[in-house]
Amino acid sequence: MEYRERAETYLRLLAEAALRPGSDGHARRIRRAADLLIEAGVLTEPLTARILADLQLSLHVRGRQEVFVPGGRLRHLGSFAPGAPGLGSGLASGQPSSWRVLRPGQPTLGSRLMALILLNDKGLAPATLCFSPAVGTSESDVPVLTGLTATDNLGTAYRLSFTDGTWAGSTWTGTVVLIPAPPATVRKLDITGPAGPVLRADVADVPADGAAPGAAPRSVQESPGERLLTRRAEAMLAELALGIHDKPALSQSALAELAGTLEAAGLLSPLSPAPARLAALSQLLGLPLEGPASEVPARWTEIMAYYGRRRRLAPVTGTAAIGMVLPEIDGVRLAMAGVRSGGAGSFLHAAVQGLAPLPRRRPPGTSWDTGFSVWARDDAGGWHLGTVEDISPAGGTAGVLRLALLPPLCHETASLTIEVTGPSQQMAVDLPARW
Amino acid sequence: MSWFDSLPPAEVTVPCGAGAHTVRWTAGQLTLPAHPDAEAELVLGALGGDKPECVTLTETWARHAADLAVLTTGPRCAADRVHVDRDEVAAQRASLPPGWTQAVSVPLVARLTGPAVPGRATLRPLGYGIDETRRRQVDLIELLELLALGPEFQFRLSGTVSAAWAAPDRAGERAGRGPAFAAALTGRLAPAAGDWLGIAPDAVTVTPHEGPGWGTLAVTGTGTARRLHASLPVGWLADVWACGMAVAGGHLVVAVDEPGYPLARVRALPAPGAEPVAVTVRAERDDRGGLPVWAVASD
Repeated sequence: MEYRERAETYLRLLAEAALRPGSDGHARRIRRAADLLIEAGVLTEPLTARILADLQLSLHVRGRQEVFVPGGRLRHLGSFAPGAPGLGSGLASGQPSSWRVLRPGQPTLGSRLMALILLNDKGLAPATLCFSPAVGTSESDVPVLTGLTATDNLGTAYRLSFTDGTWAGSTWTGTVVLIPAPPATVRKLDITGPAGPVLRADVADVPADGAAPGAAPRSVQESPGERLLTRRAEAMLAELALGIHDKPALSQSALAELAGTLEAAGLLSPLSPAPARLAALSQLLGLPLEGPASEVPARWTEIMAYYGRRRRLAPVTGTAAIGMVLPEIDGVRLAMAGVRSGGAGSFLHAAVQGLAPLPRRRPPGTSWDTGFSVWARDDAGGWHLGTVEDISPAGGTAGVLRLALLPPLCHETASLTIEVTGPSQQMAVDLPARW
Repeated sequence: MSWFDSLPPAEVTVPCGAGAHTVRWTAGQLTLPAHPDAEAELVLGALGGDKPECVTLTETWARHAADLAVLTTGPRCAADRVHVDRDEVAAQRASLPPGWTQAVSVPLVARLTGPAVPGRATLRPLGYGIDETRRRQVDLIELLELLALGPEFQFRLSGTVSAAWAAPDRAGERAGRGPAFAAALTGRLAPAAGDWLGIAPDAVTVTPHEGPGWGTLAVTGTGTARRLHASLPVGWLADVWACGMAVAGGHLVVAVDEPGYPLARVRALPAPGAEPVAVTVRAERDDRGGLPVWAVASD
């Protein structure tokens, strides 16, 4: 039986049990279980809402008025929503992606292009743009960016728009959107402001459609329940790194209910080490849980060790170009553009297609959950957790991601091994980084 | 022979126009003694004339004849009282916006039960538009109107729905509804197993059985660890459960060879682990929540 079928059967049987005499109060437990099964990626929100609505009606016609809000806020802002129409619904419907990536040539001083990603109707150019200090530090991108124009070596002029970016002094890092899409034969891109050139970049086509060689997706070894617990652990690590302290802490009883629900729904083996691993991580983070520290993966302890220091190594400053399309996993395709690192941290910039829509702004006190895990390993073997810092729609079927690397990169790594794990598929690929 | 041969006729009185009319269920069909030519009245209604309420009711019954929400909401056993206040439903219908009072004539097998059923052109995916909202609201009110007919009709409608899904040519569609049928079977075998063995309902799980044979049943463990696992065909819900004969004379009925009323020939388990035995059961009285009470007449 598939995980989805097991989970739906479990939820429906829970609802059956709630109808029996003497089972008052079960409805809230069912709703928590429903939330969990959605978060685990095995049930869709509409199906779950329907089951809960049926339960409420069944209780009502039996004279039971339990406090119960089916179909309400089943999931929290910022969480994974399997089955939701994605930013990249084209991928979900089997429409082939026509993405192509052009990489910048030799780096130049000042502004830096990470990659030029060609979509059907536009080009995405994640870049760092350095402006004259006379322009001033802009709290609003508008006055500075609206004065920019772009042309290529073929004489084509482009309309420009911009995703959310970040300023560091007079340097802006974000994604420039060029309309129409530049042709794959373009070899030079110039972005000019009122005061003169801002970015001049040579670009070259990447062989084989820019796809990373040898990055064949493979099946995830973890069960959906283990994946969920791993994502919970990664969220806790991200909250540690981001200084989020106001979320309700995981308790022993909450973990027991979590693991119990996942086991009963057939999503987690009773022999799985994942609950003990999460308990051990929680204990190391000072929560009142107990677990064997030996179960905590080294990459998790690296993050705790970094953020546990009083004096942390400063992030490296610079921009690295990557420019590589990763193979599609679980209906999602990523094109890794590059890395920008500085005082605020290290950020991996990527274009994405097929991701379920997320709220535009990360609500305070939460971390975004895309349903995917992203890890990056630098050339010294250090692991960095990639957490979504920002996501900008880039027109219907695509989006631009800014992933914070936790901890930040502390040296100019010559390569990054990117490991992406989705609900059922994962991949790892080595990507050269040119600073 | 059909599953409903094991059920006696049933009647209920419903408001119709200025008066009240009898709606009769017999041999699997709703009939309207006060409207001998209901079909003509349906045609007149379609042409803009007034449609009597009890004629509308037969349409509603037909629309929900394969609606799995009936099994989700309806009774699990005779002791499970499902009560719907007819006046409350009438008020809900009256509160619908103008033009919303009539459901689209699409079999609810598609609309109410989630993903599309293959091979049915009228199916639409669940959505959140105004049409879907309207459909859901009207479907809900219609379902409540049917449940308001009382327990005799609730069991008979549940049997109708189960029989529709149990058809041999719908194995593929059933496979796509495995979890819903697992819940429907579990929710109905559990109280029967409680009567049969005294086992706690939470200790009972049933999976839908496909293929030859009546299925399987096993009891494991003792005390609080006692569990009953069964595999039964969806048709058991119509042939056995909806006719009130899940437990007859200390036997658990697992299949019906010759449906009939008041005598039926069934296969029943005298005990867990035993092979089913063929027995004749007799309906002794009809006062148990609208269902007959059956006893073993002879082996």
